[in-house]
Amino acid sequence: MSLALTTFISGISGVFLVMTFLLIMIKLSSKLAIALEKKQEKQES
Amino acid sequence: MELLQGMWTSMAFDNLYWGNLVMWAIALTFVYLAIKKGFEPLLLLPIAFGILLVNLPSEIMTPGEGLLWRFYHYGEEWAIIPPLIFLGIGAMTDFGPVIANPKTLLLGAGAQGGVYVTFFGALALGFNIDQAAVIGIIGGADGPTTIFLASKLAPEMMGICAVAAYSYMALVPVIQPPVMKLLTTEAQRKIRMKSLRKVSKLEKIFFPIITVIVITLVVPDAAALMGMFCFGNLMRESGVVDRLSLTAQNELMNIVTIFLGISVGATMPAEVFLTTKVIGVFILGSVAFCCATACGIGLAHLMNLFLKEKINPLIGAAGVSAVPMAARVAHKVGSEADKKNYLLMHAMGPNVAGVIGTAVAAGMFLSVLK
Repeated sequence: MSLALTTFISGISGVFLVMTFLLIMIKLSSKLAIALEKKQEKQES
Repeated sequence: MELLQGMWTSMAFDNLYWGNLVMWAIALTFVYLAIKKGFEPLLLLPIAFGILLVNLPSEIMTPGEGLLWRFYHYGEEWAIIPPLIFLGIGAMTDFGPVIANPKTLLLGAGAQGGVYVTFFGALALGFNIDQAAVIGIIGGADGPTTIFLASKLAPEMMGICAVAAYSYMALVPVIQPPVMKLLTTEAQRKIRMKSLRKVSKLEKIFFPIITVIVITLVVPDAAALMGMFCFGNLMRESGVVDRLSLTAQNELMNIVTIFLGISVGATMPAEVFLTTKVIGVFILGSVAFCCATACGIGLAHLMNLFLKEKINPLIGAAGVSAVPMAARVAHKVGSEADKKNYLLMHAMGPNVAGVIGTAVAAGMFLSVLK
């Protein structure tokens, strides 16, 4: 495979891989953050 | 008479040639555009003055001696200034819209398609693969990333590509709307999206930490840009280092912008700039912007095939970075179809995701080509 094609395939797949991984991690971290905040609210009340 | 001859030879007039005069005209045009038309003046004015200085016969860019060479060498060749700009951008950016609707991250990735279309276009026009990568990244509409990648892969292209990137960023309101209207129907432009939920402070604090870990693990070559970007954002969202955050957003950003602009301009002496390749770069730059816009909209259409709650495809166009201009354009085109359709906050999601996407695309180029 030529270097140009390798650059293209690795580049575009890398960008989508990062964004998909980031999407999943952000959803999980949001759930965690919301859960932690609820727990804190309960403790305070 | 001898005295006059001696005075004449000590002056610099003999070292001028027609190319320098053309570059003066270009520099003065940029000064005009910055002052009179307000085209990215914060950068265009220092760049223009750098062009003027380097095209005056002097030793200002002599390697190892010249003042502007030192700015350029330590600031850009050492790739220090672009990450510092990213620190400031991170400190200025609110990631709330992305956190509230993380699907928009994919739109930021989709718009990077334009980078790769242009990459192949540049190869077809005879640029080598490193130069093609730098020209392609213009489509990401992110000046600091373009400069960062150029410093690593093709320093000789830095000035031209930086000017092309910033020029087209200023022209986003002109370039994007025709492409957006061509690729969407009026009914699609009228799609209203649900209001975004409120994002808590803790979510915003988690975001930069998660982002830097994920990106650095997958694309280590993007660590310099994304590390500074996320650090800047963490300073902002933590709320405990307001002084540092404000410094990154204002004083530091302004200082590095001065050094960045003037030294980028100084990379454009006549013998480098006045070549047919420059015309190719500017044509490819506009192709890059159009393709990036089209790819973002195309991905939004594709996502709509699978989503229950449809997204307005116009926000896909905001996946090119150019924050917040591209988001404003998406909102404006949307409101032309439906005056009560407020797309701005929805478009900010792909817009800031585009900054991340472009930095990742640059990192991927580096990982393969350096």
